[in-house]
Formats: sequence, structure tokens, C-alpha cells
Amino acid sequence: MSSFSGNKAWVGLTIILIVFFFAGFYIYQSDLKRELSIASNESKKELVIIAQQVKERLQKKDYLLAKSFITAWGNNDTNISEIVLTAENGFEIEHFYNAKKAEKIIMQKTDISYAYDKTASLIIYWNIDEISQNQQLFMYQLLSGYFFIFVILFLLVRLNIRTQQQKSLLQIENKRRIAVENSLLETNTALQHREQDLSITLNSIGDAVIATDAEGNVVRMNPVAEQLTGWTLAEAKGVTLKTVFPIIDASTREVIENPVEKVIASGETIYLTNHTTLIAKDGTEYQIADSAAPIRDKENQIQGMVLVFNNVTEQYKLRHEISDYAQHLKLYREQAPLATIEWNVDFEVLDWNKAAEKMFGYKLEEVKGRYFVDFMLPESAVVDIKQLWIDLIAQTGGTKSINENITKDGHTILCEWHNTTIRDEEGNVVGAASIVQDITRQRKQEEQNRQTQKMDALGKLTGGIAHDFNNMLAIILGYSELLETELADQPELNTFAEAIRRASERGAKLTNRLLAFSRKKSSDAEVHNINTILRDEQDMLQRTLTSRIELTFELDDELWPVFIDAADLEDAIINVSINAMHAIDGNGRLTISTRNIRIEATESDSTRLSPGDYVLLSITDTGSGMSEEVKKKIFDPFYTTKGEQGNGLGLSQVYGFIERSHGAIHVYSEVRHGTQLMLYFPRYYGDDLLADDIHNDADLEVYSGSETVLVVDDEPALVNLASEILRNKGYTVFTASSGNEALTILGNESVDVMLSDVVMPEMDGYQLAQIVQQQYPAVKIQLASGFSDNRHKDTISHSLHENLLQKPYDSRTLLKKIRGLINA
Amino acid sequence: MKACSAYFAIVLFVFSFTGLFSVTAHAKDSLVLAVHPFLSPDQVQKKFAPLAQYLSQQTGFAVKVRVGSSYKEHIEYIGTDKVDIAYMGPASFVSLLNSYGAKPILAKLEVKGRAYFFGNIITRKDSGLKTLADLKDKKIAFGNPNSTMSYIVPHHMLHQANVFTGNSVKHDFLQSHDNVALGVLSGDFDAGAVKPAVFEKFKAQGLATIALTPKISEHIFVTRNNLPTETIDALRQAMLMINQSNNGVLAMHAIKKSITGLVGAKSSDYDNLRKVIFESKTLH
Repeated sequence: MSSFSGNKAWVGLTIILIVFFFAGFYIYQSDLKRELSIASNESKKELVIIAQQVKERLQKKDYLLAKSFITAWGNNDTNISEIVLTAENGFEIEHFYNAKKAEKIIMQKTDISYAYDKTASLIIYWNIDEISQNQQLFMYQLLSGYFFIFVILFLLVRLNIRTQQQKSLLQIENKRRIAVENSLLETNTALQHREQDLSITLNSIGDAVIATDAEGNVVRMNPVAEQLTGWTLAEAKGVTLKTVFPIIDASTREVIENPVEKVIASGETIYLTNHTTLIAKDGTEYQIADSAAPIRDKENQIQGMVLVFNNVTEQYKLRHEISDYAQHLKLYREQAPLATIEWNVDFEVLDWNKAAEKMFGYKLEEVKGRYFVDFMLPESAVVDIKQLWIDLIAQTGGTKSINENITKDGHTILCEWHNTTIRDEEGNVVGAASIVQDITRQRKQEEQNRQTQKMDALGKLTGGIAHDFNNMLAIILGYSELLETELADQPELNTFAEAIRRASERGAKLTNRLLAFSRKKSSDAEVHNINTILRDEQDMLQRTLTSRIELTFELDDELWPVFIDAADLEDAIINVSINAMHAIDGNGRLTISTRNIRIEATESDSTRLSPGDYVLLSITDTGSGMSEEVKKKIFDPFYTTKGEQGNGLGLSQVYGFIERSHGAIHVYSEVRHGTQLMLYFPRYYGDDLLADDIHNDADLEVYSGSETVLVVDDEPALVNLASEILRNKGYTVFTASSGNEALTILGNESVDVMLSDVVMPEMDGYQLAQIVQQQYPAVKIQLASGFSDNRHKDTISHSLHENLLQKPYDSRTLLKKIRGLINA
Repeated sequence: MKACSAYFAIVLFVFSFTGLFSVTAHAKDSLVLAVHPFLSPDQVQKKFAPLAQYLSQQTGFAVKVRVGSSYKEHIEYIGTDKVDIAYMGPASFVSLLNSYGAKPILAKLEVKGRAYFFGNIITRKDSGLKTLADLKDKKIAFGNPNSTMSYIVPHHMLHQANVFTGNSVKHDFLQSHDNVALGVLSGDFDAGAVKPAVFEKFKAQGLATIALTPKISEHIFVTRNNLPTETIDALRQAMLMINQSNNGVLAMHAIKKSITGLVGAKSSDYDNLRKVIFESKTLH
């Protein structure tokens, strides 16, 4: 009702205003019209006057005067804005502009005929700005009046309406208040729901959540946080985070700065280190991973901090286990006895362990990234190995190979390779891994075993044959002796029987030799001193060798006893000596020496002897020596280099004798230098000697050291043997296979002692010693040799020659010599 | 008796000196510079007063300016030596020579570096008139009949070009160069004669030149015949040096801003004008 009457009042007011507006507009328009009419009349009058004056002057052809008149008139009449006098041909004779520019004008025009055929036009622009301004002023006044009336009426209407409105406002206010209250109620409910949702959400989070205020006091915690800290929300509320969330460094056990101060100070999210340990209220420790972030309000002010963390104890443990495992794996790999190498798909080294370094002589950093073929293969193996690699990557083969490899110091070793590809999760080959074993010794051992087996087989074969043959010969011999007796009176036939007998006897001797080769066990073995046997045989031996061969004995007076067949020994010595004599052209020398020797465990493989005490009988000649090929066959029955002169059984017999004596025989030979046979016989202890005379390894410790020794020998086995003996006692060892290589090493490394073989191709030990004495006078020199070679002897000092280390040498002798040289 | 005579002689002697001074003072006291009425008297006074002051400073004479009531009076006064110095236009000078004979010449004007001037015979650009011959039977506007360049010389040229044959002489005297230009521009006249300054003033509104008049020597300063030679020399010297001093330059620019100096002149400089005037009077 009230709104309806209010509207009516407004409508009425609007109508009144519209009426007033139109009335005022009408008045305004009428007044304007009147003013303009007045202005038009005045301007017309003036136009006539001006035109008259101008005409007079134009008639006189006094254009200047006409111009000046127009100018003067225009300046004097402020109602005139412009006056334009234009000739008939369009030329403006005069155009007067009033200095005060008019916004609104009315134009009056007339023509001036000043000559018979001449007409000019005159235009004046009458300024009606004043009229316009007056009208504008009138309009303002009118509008002001309207406004005033409007305000009055407006106020009246408003007052009326307000009164009515106030009544209804009260009703509306009541309604509104009820609505606001309801809205507040809804808002509260919503807030409560929101709070519940928040709590539910918080409680549902799997991680622990703690919220603090700006002072760092706990305001909220979820159940996971309660469980980990040991504090309930009720207990923790209002308590500082430092108290509720004490943390230490897992490694150092030192207290870690509480994150709340840092976050509130910096305003940034921070993450605690990986080694954070939370100590719960009951003392339980948890490894945690966490982050802390500021809580900001709408104005971006920090209101508190929220800490989110979770229990990573298991992961932490697992991570450590994995780390330990990796560490163990690494140690295992590093300490594994076999070489392990890892490659990329291009056969370049990615990684290799200590065993590989030791085997090949290269440090990892020297080979990492290098192509295998470039540095580890002899030329002869390149093609095969490349193909092997192709097969391996293609997974069609290449998993195992045995091939020669070259070490850093140029030695050739035989290695057994076991290869496998490394594949990623998709099964693509991303590399390969190899396990390598140096089987050089093993192969040599096998060869030696094969040789032994061969000799055994040969022994059995010859033994069998000899045995059968002996039986036949026995029959032939027996009957030939009978025939000799029966045919004593028939000389011619008796001669035939005698020939048969002699041939049979020779055959018997031959078969006896074969039997001697094949016999496993000597039935006449006794305890003997080899020196005694030698001395007894010396004369006979000298006669056998003839005067062109000088026989020399070098016998150890403290020689240990041995358990052997003396006759076999004599035969062995004779056989070897005769071979030596045949090998010496012209004059020469045969040296027979004896000494005690101890075979250590490290020498066992190379000597094929069990560790223990032995008596070494060496027979050395200055003959032509033997090639490797010949050396391999000298003990084969019937193998001879003497053509038809030899039966090839001599050394076979020696071999059999040694085997029966549980010893070993080694041959060292250098072509054009000579040959040395070394016969090892186990020391005979007897019951009273077993305990007392056995040396133990501890005695050798006095010869240990840390100096650097350079071992030079063209025989790889001897180099390896000497190197191993010295390294085991703490020495640093470099090796060289020639004099030139030794000099190269001396030029690059600091060496204390050089142990060098005498007999070497290109540059012998004497020549090397001379150079070393000149260029490296600080290096001490020990020469070793198995031959009594006096070449170049005069080029070196007498002491070097006199202190020559005789081969073969045992560990003790070598270590004693080296240590003695260093200490001198 | 003797004392009275001595006293009388002394007084006479003193007064005689006074008289000499007064005579001398009167003789050196003032000179009249007469100017023809080419503008209103006040305007002429204003223009020539600085020159009078300059000459006074240079010569020691008090030079005063007098404006003639007409060109005729002006010529007559200098011709009859009633004024000391006269400023004359070339036509007036020729008239002076013809009527009164030669007068001592002080100097003539040099305007924009030239001691001569010429006039333009003008038409509207769109009139189609290109030569003087085209002006035959056309309506011509001249300025003052006494004006050298707005009537005398151009009129002679038109006659020479046989424009004014027969009796149909269609021309008017519009008294001023500006009126001539305006008359031509408004189409009331087909051609007219104006001085170059006026041509330049109205050129942009559509004027074109058909022909130029011969060069006529500029306005000239002359003296009366009986002016003392030393006075004439002093005056001449002052005039010829007028552009050497600030006051002299100001005096020149007061007359006409384009005056660049005063240069020497002789009667023969105006022979061509004399011939034109003579032929105009006798032949036309």
C-alpha cells in the first residue's frame, strides 16, 4: 500500500517536472526567436548603410578607401564579426575579421552595383554570441528554477513516502533480522561442518600433521602425529613444538634446530634432513622425513606453521642395508680373486677390480673407456675376439673363451674368459661383464701333468714291451749259450752261436734300460750321500768325458742324505754327462754341483715339488744348448738328436729314476750357452730328523723388506717365481724380460736393487750391469745364472762376478742375497 | 670727451662682435629641408625628422623639415631657391631641371643596394594578356598623373607599343599604386602600372607582370644654387656617409626601411626620364 502511494507521488512529481520542462523550453525558444529577429533586422540595416558607403568609394575606383571604410566600420561595430567585399570576378577586395571571434553568427548579404557592368557583393556576419549567451543564461536560470522546484517537490514527496516507508521498514527490518539470524545459524553450521570435515581430512591423512600458532605452540594434531610423538592433542595443545617434537640427527645424535622458528622467521617452506630422528614421549625413536610450511591469512601474514612428517624408519633401515650390501658387494668385487670387468656395448672398459689390475698390470684409470682390442690382445687373437664380442652382444655365443692376453709389461698370459651380457628391464643389451682367470700356470701344470702321464704311459708301454721282449731274449740267450756249449767243436757254427748270444745280451741291456725307465719303484734304494757317490765316480766320469771336457765338482759339504738307488744315480750321471759331452763342440766344461735347497709353498707349482727340503744335484755343461722344442721331448723314449748314434733312452732312464726317487728334474738350456739339468731328491730325514731340521717360514722374516727390486730375466717362469718370492716378503717388484726394458724401467722408477739373469739375448747381464753402474750408480746389482759363462766377465767388477747367484736358487738363498746386498 | 669716445668705441666694438655673431649665427643657424607631399604633412614630418637631426649633427646647422602643399609648389620653391634643400622624385627633378635649370646635387637614394627603380605593368594572371600589344583597347589603371612609375613612364611605353591608338583611351587615374593593383585584381581594369613593392604586395592574390619599365634613377636631394659651397660640401659629405653611423641608418630607415644608403648623382642620370617626359608632352 505504501509503496503504491509512494509511486503515485513520484509519478506526479515526474509529470509536474515534464510540464515545467516543456513550458520552460517553449519560453526559451520564443525568446530566442525574438532576439534573433531583432539581430537580423539590425544587421540588415547596417548592411544597407555599409553597402551604400562602399558603393560610393567603388564608383570612384578608390578601393583603398572602400577597404579602410569597411575596416573602420567593422572595428567600431562590435556586433559585426566579419565583412567581406568581393568583386564580381571573385576577388576579395576586403575581408574584415573582428578581433573577437564569434561562436554564433547570422549572415546578411547584398550586391553592390557600382558601375554599369560591375557588381560587387557585400556580406556581413552578425555576431549573435551575446544573444546565445543570454539564452544560455536564461536556460541556466530556468534550469535552476526547475531544480529548486524539483528539490522542494522532491523533499515533500520524499517526506510523505518516508513516513509511510518507516512503517513498512519496521516490518522489513524484522523480517531481515530473522533472515540474518537464520543466515548466521547456517553459517555457524557450515563452519562446524567445515571444521568437522577439516578434522576428518586431517585425521585421514596418512602422514603426521601438526599445526602451530605464530608463537610455535601446538594448535592441532592428527592421530598419526599423536601416535608418533606420543602426545595426545589434548596434552599437546598450547605446548611448544620443541617439546612435543624433539628431533636429533641420526648420525651425530645432536639436537636439530626446531623448524617452527625458521619457518616463521623466513616465511619459507623447509625440509628437514634425511637423518632426522624423532624421539617420542616414551623415548621411542623414529626416523622421519618431513617438511614445514608457514600458514598465511588473506593478508599473507603468517598465522602459524604446519608440519607434515612420516615414519621412514623402515626405509631408513632398508637404505642402510642396501648401502651396506652395496659396500660389501663392492668389497667382494674388489677382493675377489678372479678379475671382474664390466664393458659397455662397444667393448670399452667401464670398470674392473683389483684382481684385474693385478692380472693385467693396468690400473682402472688407465683402461677406463679404452677399447679392449687396443691394449690387451695379441695381434693373432684380435679377429677371433672381435667375432666373439659380436656373438656375445647378439647373444649367439661368446660366453666363454680361452685366449692369450698381453699384460702391461708385455708378458703374454693365457686367460679363461667367462662373459655375459647385461640387459636392462626391456631386455636390451646395455653392456657385458666378464670374469677372467689367469690359467697360464694351470695350463703349464696340465702340460706337465700330461707330460708326466705321457711318460707314465710310455713307461708302461715300454715296460710292457721290454718285459715281454726280455722273456723272449732270455729264451734266445739261454739257447744260444747251450748252442755255444754244444758247438764247441765246430768253430764256424760256434761263431754263429756266439753272435746270437752277444746280440741277445745287447738286447737284454736295451730292454733293461727300458725296464729301468718304466720301473716305478727302485728295489735297491738306500740312504746315500750323493757327494760320496759322485766322488767315487769322479775318475770314471773324467775318463768318459775325455780331456777336452773339464769336469768340475762343487759339492756342498753339509749335504743332506737322500733315499735312492745308487746304481741308478750313477747311470743317470753317466747318461747326462755323455749327453753333455755330445753337446760340446771342442773344449768345454761340465760342472756337477750339489746343495741343500728348501722348496717353499710358493715354489711348489713351478718345481712340481711339495714344499720341503731337497738335495739339488745340478749338472751344467757349456754345450750348444737346446731349443724349446727339443727340451719338450728329451725325456721321451727313443727321442734322440744324435741320429743313428743315439738310442734315445738315456734321459728317459734318468726321468724314470727321478720319478722313482719321488724327486723332480728340471732342464734349463740356452742355445749356444749350454744346458743345466737339476735333479731334486727329497731329503731323507729318518725318525730323528723330522722335527728338528724342518725350517719354518718364520725364519725368512729376517730377510723381508720394503725396498724396490727390479727382476730381469728372459725366462717368464723365473721372473714370476723371483717376483713372488720377493713380493711375499714385502718388496716392491718391477719386472723386465730384457736389458733394454730394464733400462726403461730404471729411467722411470726408483729402484734399489736389480736382480738380473746373466744369459739373455741382445744384452746379457754383464752388459746391463755395466750400463746400470754408470747411469744409476745408486742401484745395487745382483746377477744370477745357471751357466758358467765368462763372456763379458771382465767388463764388470770382480765382486759382481764372484757373488753370482747360482741357479736354481731357493727362496732363502734369494732373500738372503738381496737383503745382504741392501744392508751392505 | 676722450673718455666718452673711448667708451663709445668699446661698446661699439663689443656690439659689433655681437652683431657678427648674430649674423654668423643666423647664417649657420638653420636650413630648410623641403619634401614633396607624397603623404600627409604629419607623416612626411615623421619620416624626415631623423634625417634633419642627423644633418644638423653632422653639419652644425639646424635642419628643419617643410612639406609642400603640392608637387608644383615644391618644385617652384626649390627652383626659386626659397628652400635650402629639397627631396624630389625623379619626375619632379626633371621638371625642376626643365623649368629652373640645374641645381647642386647632394645625393640620390640607394634602395636595396640599387640607386634606380623601375615599375611593373601588371595584369591578372588569368587575363591571358602577355605583351604590351595585347593591351590594345584594354582598360588601363594608372596612379597619380604625376607619378613617374605609375603613369609617366608606363604611359610612354604603352604609347610606344601603339596601345593608345585612336580616341578610345580607356584608362583611369586611381591616385595610388594600391588602388591600381586592386582595380586590376577586381577586374575593373585589364592592366595597370605600379611600383615593384606594390606588385610584390598583391602578387600572391593573382597579379602578373607584362613588362618592366626602364630603370629610372631614384629620388634625389638637391640644394638651392646660392647655398655656400662649404655648406653644400658638408651636406653632401654627411649624406654620402649616412650609412656609417647609427643615427644615419636610423634616419634612412625612417624615410624607407629599404634604403641602404645615399650615393652620388648627376643630372645626366635622369636623361632617359627627361626624354620620356619630353616625348609624352610633345607626342602624346
